[in-house]
Amino acid sequence: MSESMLMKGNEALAEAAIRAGCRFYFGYPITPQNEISEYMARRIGEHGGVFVQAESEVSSINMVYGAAGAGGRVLISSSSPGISLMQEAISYIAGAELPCVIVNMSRGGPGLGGIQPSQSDYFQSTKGGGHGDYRIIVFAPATIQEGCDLMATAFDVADKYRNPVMILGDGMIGQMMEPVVFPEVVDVAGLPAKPWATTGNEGRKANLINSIYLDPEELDTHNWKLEEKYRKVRENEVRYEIVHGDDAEWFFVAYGTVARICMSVIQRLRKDGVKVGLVRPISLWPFPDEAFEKVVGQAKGFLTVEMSTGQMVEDVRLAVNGRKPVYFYGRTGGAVPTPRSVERRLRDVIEGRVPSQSDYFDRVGGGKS
Amino acid sequence: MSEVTVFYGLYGSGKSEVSINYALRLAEKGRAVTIVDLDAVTPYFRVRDVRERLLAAGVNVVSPKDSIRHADLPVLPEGIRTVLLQGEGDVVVDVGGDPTGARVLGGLKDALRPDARGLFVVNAMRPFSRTLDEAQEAVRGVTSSAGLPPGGLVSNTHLGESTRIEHIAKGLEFTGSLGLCLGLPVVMVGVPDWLKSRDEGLAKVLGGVPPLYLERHLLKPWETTE
Repeated sequence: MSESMLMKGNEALAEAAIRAGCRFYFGYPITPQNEISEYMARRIGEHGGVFVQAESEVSSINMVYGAAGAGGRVLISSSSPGISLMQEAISYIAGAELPCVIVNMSRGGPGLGGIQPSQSDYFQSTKGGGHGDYRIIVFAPATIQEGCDLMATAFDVADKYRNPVMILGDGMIGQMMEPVVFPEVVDVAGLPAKPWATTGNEGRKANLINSIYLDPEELDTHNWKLEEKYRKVRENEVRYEIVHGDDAEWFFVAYGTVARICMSVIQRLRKDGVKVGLVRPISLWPFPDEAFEKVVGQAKGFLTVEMSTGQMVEDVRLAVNGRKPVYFYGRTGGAVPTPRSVERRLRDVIEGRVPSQSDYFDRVGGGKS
Repeated sequence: MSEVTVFYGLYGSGKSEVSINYALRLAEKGRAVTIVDLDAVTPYFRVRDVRERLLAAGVNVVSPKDSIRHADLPVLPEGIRTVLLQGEGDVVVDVGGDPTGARVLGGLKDALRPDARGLFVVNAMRPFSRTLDEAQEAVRGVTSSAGLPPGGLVSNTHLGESTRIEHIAKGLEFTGSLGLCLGLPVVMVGVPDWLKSRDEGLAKVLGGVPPLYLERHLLKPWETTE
């Protein structure tokens, strides 16, 4: 089907998952992502799939563990506090090397926080939200169309590396509506076989799925095997976009909703002759260091803008590695940076009104402006 | 003679923008108008989010008070019953989406004037509204949950910023057919205001159905000039 439809981000991700061959969905309600569950409850059965609203986030993610072990394409969705509850099982799933796709439409934290959009789950998503040496692959769409396209990629990448993949949005990405053209429907029967799945032992030795390794040598070996896998992910799954890489002197660094805000600021500033561009990480892990290598020579500096007190900016500083100044601007708790405030911040940076970041922890916040 | 107009429909059919613009049109005509934010199911993009602008345009706004504006609860504004029962002037009610959202109106049935007009908003480019069967099911589900039989349909087929005149035409045709199935008139067609001047063929497409020109008020963060 190539016809456009007007979709909320949440609905679109659910439809895209079904089209990517997802036949198992587990979840527990939380704002602002409930349309994913509602859509799945109505639609996944039409494709022979299974929908279960469990009694808690802990239950639902453990159902994901089971269905992924049995070889299905499995989706789960939640928002920040719900994702926090799931971290133990996500660690188990990564340890047992199972594929699944997790959607986090994040909201303001910490704690119960609020229901408005936020990007303060960057640390949790990219630095290991649960225990042990593992990584999850994290994709951050900035448009609903990109979210649909990334959903198909997410299932393929999860299967390829046998590892959880997260689509990290924010409430705005989940709730807003944009036209989308959905990717083609994947033929589930034609997907690569999963010989490791627990599908019965007829004609072969039973498969066992576990994450327990009591012998330290064995666990050490297992961890280095995982690390070797993550090295391949770093090599192959980096995704980013550079805007105005040809002539920009200043770069915003932003993902998701905030990247859209920066884009509108860039259009405005370019009319005034300000040579500004954007580095937009699409894969948050693996982080696109490569993008910075491409532009660090020409850049006078980078301004990272986030709906957090400064989380991704740490990875930006690692990538830039002291070669150019890195500045920060953030709003939190569901307050979204306005285009004007972002523009003002960049002008302040350019005109030298913001001291260069000598202190690693010197993050400048927004406040009402 | 004052009127009570209720806009209901599925999630994302454009009820809030239609309600806001309809209320503003009434106010422009010099009528006293109150808009009621009865959406207890949508967390973002609600009438309450543009309260100040509506007040500035002379529209009275009944919405949950600021301290609980973002509560993750089905909060109803104070004074709804009074406004519906004794409100002076016109009342425009924006109901939450789907049968779930419409249940809120069902609970206020006794406070609705008998001549209250329920208008079902249809966007044929949204999920669950793409076939006549689906759309009829949607009308039945929402209006029975609301406890208010529909008095007409609002054709509001659009693709956001990508809306073209063909979408309006296709939507009107679809809504017309839906109206025939259900025995309901198409009383209004939503048209993005930037299409008003752009296409001379618009009048022909509308075929006599009165347009409601829609200025977008519920903007994404990067669309604001703030």
